[in-house]
Formats: sequence, structure tokens, C-alpha cells
Amino acid sequence: MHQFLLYVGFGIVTAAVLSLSAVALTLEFAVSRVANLAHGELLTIGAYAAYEFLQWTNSVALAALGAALVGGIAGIAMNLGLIERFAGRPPIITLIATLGLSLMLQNILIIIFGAANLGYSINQGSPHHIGPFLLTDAEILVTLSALAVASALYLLLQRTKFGKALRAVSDNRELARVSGIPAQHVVTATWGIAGVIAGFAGFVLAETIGTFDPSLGFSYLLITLAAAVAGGLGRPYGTLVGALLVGLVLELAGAYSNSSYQLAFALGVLVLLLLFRPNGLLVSGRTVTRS
Amino acid sequence: MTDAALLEVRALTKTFGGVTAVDDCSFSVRAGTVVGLIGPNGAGKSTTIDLVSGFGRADRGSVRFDGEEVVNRAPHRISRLGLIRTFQAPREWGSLTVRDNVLLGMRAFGRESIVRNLFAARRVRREENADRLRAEEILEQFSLAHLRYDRAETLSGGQKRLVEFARVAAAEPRLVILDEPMGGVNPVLGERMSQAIKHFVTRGSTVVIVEHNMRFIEETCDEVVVMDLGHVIAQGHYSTLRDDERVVSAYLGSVDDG
Amino acid sequence: MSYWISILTEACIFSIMALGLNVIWGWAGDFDLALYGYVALGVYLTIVMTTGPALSPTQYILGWHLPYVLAVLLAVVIVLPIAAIVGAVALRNLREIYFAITTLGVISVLYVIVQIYTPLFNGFNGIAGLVTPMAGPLHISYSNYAYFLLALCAVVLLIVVVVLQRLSSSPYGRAIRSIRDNEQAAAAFGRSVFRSKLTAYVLGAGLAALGGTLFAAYLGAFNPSAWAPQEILTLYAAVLVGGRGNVRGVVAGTFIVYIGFIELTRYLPNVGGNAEFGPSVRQILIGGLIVVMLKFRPQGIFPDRHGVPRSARRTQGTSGATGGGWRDRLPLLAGRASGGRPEQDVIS
Repeated sequence: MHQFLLYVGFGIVTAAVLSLSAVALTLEFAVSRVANLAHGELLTIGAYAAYEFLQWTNSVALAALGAALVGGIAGIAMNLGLIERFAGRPPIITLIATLGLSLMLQNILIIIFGAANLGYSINQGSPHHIGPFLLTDAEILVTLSALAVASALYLLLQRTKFGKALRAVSDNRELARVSGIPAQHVVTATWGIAGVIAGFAGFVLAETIGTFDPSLGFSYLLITLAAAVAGGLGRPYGTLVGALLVGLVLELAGAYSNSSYQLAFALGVLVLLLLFRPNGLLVSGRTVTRS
Repeated sequence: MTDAALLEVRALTKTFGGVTAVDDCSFSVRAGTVVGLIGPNGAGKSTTIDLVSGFGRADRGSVRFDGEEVVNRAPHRISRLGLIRTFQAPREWGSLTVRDNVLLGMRAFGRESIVRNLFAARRVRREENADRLRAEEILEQFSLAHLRYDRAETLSGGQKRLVEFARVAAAEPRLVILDEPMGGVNPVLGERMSQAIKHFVTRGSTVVIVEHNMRFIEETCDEVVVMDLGHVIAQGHYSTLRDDERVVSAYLGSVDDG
Repeated sequence: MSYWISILTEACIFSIMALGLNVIWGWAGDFDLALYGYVALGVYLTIVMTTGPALSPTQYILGWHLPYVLAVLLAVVIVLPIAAIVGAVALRNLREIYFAITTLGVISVLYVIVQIYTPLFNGFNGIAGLVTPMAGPLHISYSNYAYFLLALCAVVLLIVVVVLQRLSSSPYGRAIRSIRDNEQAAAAFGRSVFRSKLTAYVLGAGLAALGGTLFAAYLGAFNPSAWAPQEILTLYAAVLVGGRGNVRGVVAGTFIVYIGFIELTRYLPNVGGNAEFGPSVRQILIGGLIVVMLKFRPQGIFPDRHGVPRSARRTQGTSGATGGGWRDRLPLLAGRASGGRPEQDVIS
């Protein structure tokens, strides 16, 4: 039991990182109705930005901030440069376009930074016992920051005018626009927010794994999709739950079997979800309905 | 024989989430007649059509087509029995030519297998040619011949509707259900559609029309089925139902005379 | 010279794979990201069946030392039911982006399993050992082998093109496209959407695997880096460029993309000492090509025009055939022009 809880603890950390990436993807889907397969690159860009900031300033805080900032800019650029250019086209067309973009971005990063692994040298801190869990300073920080982001997002969505506008736009963009909401700006701003979260997530992810290369985000994309789909595409709170579930499943599966198969498990979960519960675990039905 | 019910719907029920879209719906359609299915918005007409034609799963109830129970059967199987339905918005096969659209209506399923087309190409060609002649006749009948090689997606809304009708004519169905065929159609076209429907009947088809345009209903239908809140509230000839208080109250003064 | 032989051989092989993708994506309308998985299986299976048993520390299954042609047949036969299972499960209820993501998941799972479960195909290091198949029995010298392989691939490609072209312009081609364009209407007119899509899926996968078996002969070896998920998009770009649905268009598109792009990037300098520069630029161009084609010419250079006789194609889009349009030739008509009204356009 003790062992099990330890893994649950690790699962929570995994879920924390995953929730950041997944909730950003969900925001993108919510306002643009698009499965952004170049989403992973927002994380990768964040990870590299953090690396540069660390080289430059040697401050973890600034690196994190830098990752978020650059991620946000990248998110806005992605939206204006690609997603909006395909507005009105069937979502599958935009999806294929994002695949093309993903390929481009990964290779641009290869040209700039090289294909080799890079790493941060950040002090992980010593492990602490928190209840039944055993976590390092770094892991605690990661979990706390995920919680902070989730809370900030909640406040944003529920308590601000912007949040209300976002929910309206994600429901029905035309209707929102006709009701006087500057839908275009809301969409762009949402992608900026998603980019900020994703960039930060990239930094955290790279920091957790230890090393990273230009394929960081793309490798993480499918796990992110699994979490997002588990919660129901387009539903931010569901995504957080989905991330928790997938994170736990990953850790436990990795613990009780060969841990290299973790990725295969995650992907298996994704495929199963899409087949039997494409609307997320919380909604029944095997055919996809709009969220 | 014409008194036999070609389509018999009994106690059909369907609930979505918390809403009962179709609630214990029952009606019958006699062979050789034109029946209108009317009712205010949200009455469950389209859902009923979906259930009858296999495009949705009914929670309860029975649908008998020519004596055979077909409820919850796959839509293509119901279609093969001779029940064809159209959709509210025109659903042409956009990248294919108008002629192809009509040819596809002809239900030559045996000719569409990979094996046959690779190994019995000559016979397929012969059958194709016969069908192409028939398709040409149908295109002429609907004044679409000059558009025969145009991609269906390039047509206007009204023309697409005509293609749909031509497609149905090609299929020679036992029963055809038209889901709001008059939607967005100008009166001249409507006239042609009326004629087409009468033509269907002469060729032996039974017709069910879901419509809001009451004048159209009055002119073309032998009988009318009225739905409200998922339930059939009246069935009979239009002139008798027009003053029926149940029908009037269901519409609550929003009768559209077209 | 031998460089061009190589390039042309590759282009033929990729064309066969692209034609497989065309059946699934171009005709049936399903954007299948798992396709290259069937290619990879075709390659792997061919190699493990033609080489002998694994010698430690290398590990792989089978190792039956079969003749190449038999291995090709068996490889395709093994892939077909796998594709049938994937298709049966994925095509039941999923379409569009959900189908795409599911198939992306499938190929990623396969990729991970092959990498990690070394007893299968030797994991990261991959397998090798298929050297000049059929050279022995046919007495082909080593120096001539490249020509032989090119001829073989070209012949196979030609056969595939002829068969698919016939299917494309047949009633089958019409029916499958109707399912692509609007499956509810297709079902309303009696077509079994699931069965048709599944059949197309298996056919496409089989062609992809066939391409893989030839690819095995060409490469002689295979490992995961050859089919990393990021690598596979070139095939999709080729189909997009050529014209989704158009058999000959897809072949043209493949040749254009593979030969054109390889030529284009061959002369790029190694900027900044970065050895990755050339290949990376190529990938950037591929990605960019996909985006640009989707944005400005999604139908490709050679759009799919089923059912439209050649003479009517020039007036396409206008309502009404011009006077010249009456001299139509039905696609099924071979070499017969007829004047007068369309009723006379039949084969006697």
C-alpha cells in the first residue's frame, strides 16, 4: 500500500505537468474547434526559451517567465499565422495544416539549436515526506504551480468579463460576435493564454525529464491528447480531471510493468477513449457530439 | 391492396438527454397515397423521420415497412427495402457530376463491387450503358440535362434540390420521405416539385412529406399527420384537420400559408 | 547515372504507397495517419522472412529464409487482417479529426512497441540482410541489379496504376466517392458506409504494404528512424500535390515531390557546420508545401474528376456544355467518339 501511494504521488506530479499542457490544448480547441497538432511545439519553444534565459540570467524564475512569455507570443503567432487562415474550412483540413506546421517548427528548431539533447542544470532540491508521498522540492514546486495555474484559470473563466466572453465564443463564435463581443480579439487572447501555459509547461516538462530535444513537444502531444480527450475536448475542468486520471494511469502502469511502455500505455488509453468515449469519460455515448 | 398500410409506426419513442423528442408516436401510411407530416417546430417530425429510416436508435416502439419490422435496422438496409428519405438541407454528392448523382440513385449495388469491376468489366459496361440512357431520360424530365457533367457542388440551391428529386426518381422507391423539400425554394421550382411528386405516385411510389408550407401540403397531400411535442395528435384529410382545435392550438396561430 | 536510377526507383516505390493512401484518403475520404505503419510492417516482414534466423545479439521474429517473391506475398497477406482490425474498430464511429487522431495513436503505439520490444524487429537498431533479392535465380549481376530493381518497381507501379485507374472510373469509384462526399445520403440510397470504407481501408493498407516490400528490396535494411512519425508526412504532401483521388495525379505528385524536393535540397550547403541543415530544410519545405497546398489548391495539381468525359473538362464549371461538348466520350468508351446526342454514346 505504501508503495502504491508513492506511485500515486508521482502520478500527481506527472498529472500536474500534463494538466498544464492539456488545459492549454483544450483552450485552443474550445475557441477554434481545432485539434492543434502543432501544440507540442508550443511546449518545445517554451523549453528552448527557458534554456536561453537560463544561459543568460541563471535565474530559474526568469527562465520560467521567459518560457511563458515566448510561449504566449508563439501561441498568438500560431493562431494568427495559421489557424485563422483556415477559419471556415473543415476541422480536418486545419488539423492536417497544423501537422505541416509542426514539421516546420521542429525542423526550424533543429536548425537553430541542433538535434542533440540539451539539459538544464537546476538543483532539484531534497526529497520531503508529504503525507504518504515522497517528493523533491522541484516536484513540489511543479505541482503547486500547476495548481496555481488551474486556480488562475478558474478565476479567469468564472469571475472575469473576459472569461465570460471566452465561454460565449467557445459556445458559438458568430452568436458571440453578434452580441457585441469582439470575438476575434478574444480568440487571439485565448491563444496567447494557451501559449503562456504551454510554454511554461514545456519548461516544466523538460525540467522534469532532464534532457530535451526538438521533438519534446511532439512526443508529448499524444499523452496531452489523451488527457484532453479523457476530459472531453473543449472542457477545461474536465481536462484537469482527465490529466489527473491519465497521469495516475501512466505512473501506476509504469510502476507495475516495464516503465518503457509508459508511452504505449498512454497511447493505448487515448485510442480506447476515442473509440468508446470520445466525448470524455464524464459523458456517455460513442458518437461525437459538440461539447 | 391500396388500403394496406405500407408504413406503420407504433409507439415510437426517443429521448435525448432529458428531452423526449419523440413520445409514443403512432401513425400509418397507406400505399399509393401522399401523406403530409406537419407540426410546429420542435414537434419531433425530423427525429421521427430519422428513426423510421434508420438514422437514429429508437428507445421503444415499432416501425413496420410493408409488414416487415425494421425499427433500429441499419439505414442502408432499410433503404434497400425500398424506403428512401431526403434531408432538410440538400445532400448532393458535391464532387460528382449531376449525372453521377442520378446514376447513384439507381441502386445498382451489384455493379459496385471491386471484384466485379476488375473481372467482369464488359458486363458492367453493358449494364452501365443501359442505366446511362435511363439517367438521361430522368435528367431531361427534370430539365437538368444541360448540367449533366457539372459538379453537383457548383449548382444553386434550387438546382441541388432538383438533383435530389432526380436521384429519388432514379431509385423508384416504394416509399419516399421528403424532409422539408420546399425549404428555400422559389414558387416556380415548387410547382415543378409538386409535379415530380405526382409523378412519383403515378410510378407506384408512396410519398410522405414533412413540410411547413401549408399551401403545398394542401395541394399535394391526400392525408395529413399532425405532430406536437413528439406525439401524433391528429391524422386525416387537411380540410377536416384545419379547423380541429387540437391542431390549431398546437400551432397557436403560427400557421404558415406559404 | 546510378543516382538517377535510385531516385526513380524510390519514386516508383513511394508512388505505390501514395496510391494506397489515395484509396483511403482520396476515394473514401478518411485521413489515415496509420498508413505508414503498414508500410513499415511490409518492410520489416519482408526482411525477416527472407533472412535466416536471428543471430545473437540481434533479435527478430520469423527468419524463414524464404524466396523474396513468397515473402512479398506473405507480408501483404499478414498486413491485411491487421489493417482490417484497425479499420473495423476505427471506422465504426469515428470520422474526421477523431479518426485522424486515433490512427495517429495507432501508428505511435506501433512505433513505440517496435522500438522497445526488441524480440520483434530488433528495436532501435533495426534489421538488415536483404541483399539483391531475386538476383541469384535470375542471374543478374551486381552491377546490373539497380536497373533490374527499377524495372521491377516500375512494372509493379504500372500494374497498380492500371488496376486502380479502372476501379476509379468504374461504378465502384463512383460509389466510394459518394460515401466520401456525403455518407448519410449514401446510406439513404442503400450503400453500406462502414463496409465500403473498411474495404477501401484494407485495400489501401495492402498497397502500402506492397510498397513496403519493394522498399525492403531497395533499402536492404530498416530501423525506426526511417519511419519516425515526423518522417512520414512527405507521402501525404505527395498525394495532396498530385490531386487527392486522381490516380495518375497522385503518381505525378509523388514524382514531383520526391524528385523535385530531393533535387532542390541536394545542393544546400551545410550552413554553420550543422549536418542536419539539408534534411531539415527539406522537412520545412514539405511542411510548408502541405500548408500552402491546403490553403490555396487543396484539390491538387490534377483534381479528381470522376465521370467527366475529357471533352467536357475544358468547360468544367460552366453550366451547360458548349457545342463541342456533344462529341462526348464516355469514360468507359475506348477509342470511340460519337457525334450527336448523348443517347448515342454507347458501346456497340
